[in-house]
Amino acid sequence: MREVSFGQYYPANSFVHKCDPRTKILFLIAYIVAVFLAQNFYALGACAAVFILIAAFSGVKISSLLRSVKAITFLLVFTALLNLFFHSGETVLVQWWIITITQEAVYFTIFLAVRLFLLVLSSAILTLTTTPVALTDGIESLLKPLKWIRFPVHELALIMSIALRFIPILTDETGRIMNAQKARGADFETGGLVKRVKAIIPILIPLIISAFRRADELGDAMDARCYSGSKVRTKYKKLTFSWRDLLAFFVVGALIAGIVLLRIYTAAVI
Amino acid sequence: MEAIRFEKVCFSYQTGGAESTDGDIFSPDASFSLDGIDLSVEEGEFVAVLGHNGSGKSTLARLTNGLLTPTAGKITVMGLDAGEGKNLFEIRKQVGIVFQNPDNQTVASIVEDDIAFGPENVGVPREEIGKRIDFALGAVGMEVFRHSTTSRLSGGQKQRVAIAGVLALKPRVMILDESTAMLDPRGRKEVIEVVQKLNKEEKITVLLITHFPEEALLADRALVMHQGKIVMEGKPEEVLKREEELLKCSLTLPRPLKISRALRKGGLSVVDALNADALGEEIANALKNTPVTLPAIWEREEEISVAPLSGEIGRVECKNLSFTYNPSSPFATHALNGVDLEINAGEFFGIIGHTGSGKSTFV
Repeated sequence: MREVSFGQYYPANSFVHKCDPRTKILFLIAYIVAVFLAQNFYALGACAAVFILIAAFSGVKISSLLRSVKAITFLLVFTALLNLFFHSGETVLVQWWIITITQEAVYFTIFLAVRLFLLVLSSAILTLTTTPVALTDGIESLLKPLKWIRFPVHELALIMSIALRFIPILTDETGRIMNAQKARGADFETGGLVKRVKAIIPILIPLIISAFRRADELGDAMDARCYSGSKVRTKYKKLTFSWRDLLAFFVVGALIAGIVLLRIYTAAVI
Repeated sequence: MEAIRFEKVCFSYQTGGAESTDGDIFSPDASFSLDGIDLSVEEGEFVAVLGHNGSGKSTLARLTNGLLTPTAGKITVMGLDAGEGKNLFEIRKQVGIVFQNPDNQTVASIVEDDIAFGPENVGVPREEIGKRIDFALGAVGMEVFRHSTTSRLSGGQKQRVAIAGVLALKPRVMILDESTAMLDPRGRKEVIEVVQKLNKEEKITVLLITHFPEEALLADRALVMHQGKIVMEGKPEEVLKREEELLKCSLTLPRPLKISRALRKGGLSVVDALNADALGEEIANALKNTPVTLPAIWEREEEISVAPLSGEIGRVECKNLSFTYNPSSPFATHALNGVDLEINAGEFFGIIGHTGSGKSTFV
């Protein structure tokens, strides 16, 4: 119960926290592009440097950041091993039975691992420094042009923010249901895959039922508070760009420019 | 002026479909949730509605706010006909409902964003929303929590935020639909105090729906509902003394009253007392005049403490037990801190503590 899940908001008052959510979303997208454009360790190093800079200005504890990587440790190790053993190359380092490890494979593996790390960590910084409300406000504002094609932008943003709000509540509820069933002798930890999946069904059903009940009540509460779609709605929080956002755009612009230049003038690892 | 007026209002959850019988499972008379209700609430009045589960009290709340429309009869709220679809928006601005479960009525994760939700919906300009949040948070005494995360508040605090969310719409009527039912005693007290204050200072009409007789005592008027009908009505002090009628509606007397009556039966000359303080005074007075003989139960103390069963079977023993939620995170909470405890087999062990004291963690 009450486990802090992946990327939950970390309250602080840092430079990154104060940036406009739209800036942060656009920054993240640009950053991801930059990470994918990076072809060698110089470029990746530049990306990592920018990440360290942001992390330093985010006021988020390193331990909280690293916790977000924990969730993908398995994926990271698995892909790393696959790459290490099966990536072809010329300079053979180790050869044993059917396993061949080449120098290129080692580089490639390190490269991919760093890339994956940066992707996860930079996304984590976004969710750690931005409240779900600010995040959805930002997405709503960025998607506004889609209103032209009658895309329900406001509704989508509201659905997202409500979904985010209910994550801790449903997590608690799952814990409660599991405890109630453990107390009556249910076993979630042992047995094969099939048995474990079967053990989850009795958790899922009460959880879904309760989610529907909650949704129903929330709908009533929203109706009672005059919710009637986006027609006459005003917004309390107005998003404004400041010098911070300008600086952020400058940093990410410089990063992309630098990486494009590196792409042109240096050799690629991959 | 009349704030709420019900004229011969009937409501049935089974609309149309005569085959639908699922309502019958719960009560023998499920065809009508409300059966010919006549009710008039004056502006500024504080009315308590009592009733056991399924008596129709929540239906009453939902009808007043236009979440449901009556099957028959007429409802007028602040001079507006609640049966007319075009009035609903206006009525909902005037009538706020605070529901039972605090978790299911907060829309946003941050307190101020949640309070802003109502004013945003009715198109209040931005600067004005800020002022309304100040006002609403001030009224419920939650100013310091303005930027807090709603899911980390206590039940009573969440419910006060919900009240603030309703207040931000500047309603004239506030309905509390069992809003204290899920709270611990402290939370219940917090919420009730806020409601009393709003009624007195802001002159907001309050309809307090509850099944705690003690809460009804604070109202100007009390209604008791049973099987979709209003069966008792009057000053709460009087209504709550009518034991037999209350029992018929599956309600109980307020506890102090029950105790004072039990004492009188036992030969102590006490007058009916409705709250704990008055009861204490009554007992003290009565004891001054009567020679004290301790009730027999105290003398049997020796027998009550059961000799502990021998052997280690079924014995729970804790030594220096500690537990921390979310270790090494900004939200780390020390739930248990060096607890030493022995529980013997066959013991009936009670653990008392306020919310958040670590009782559940211990279990």
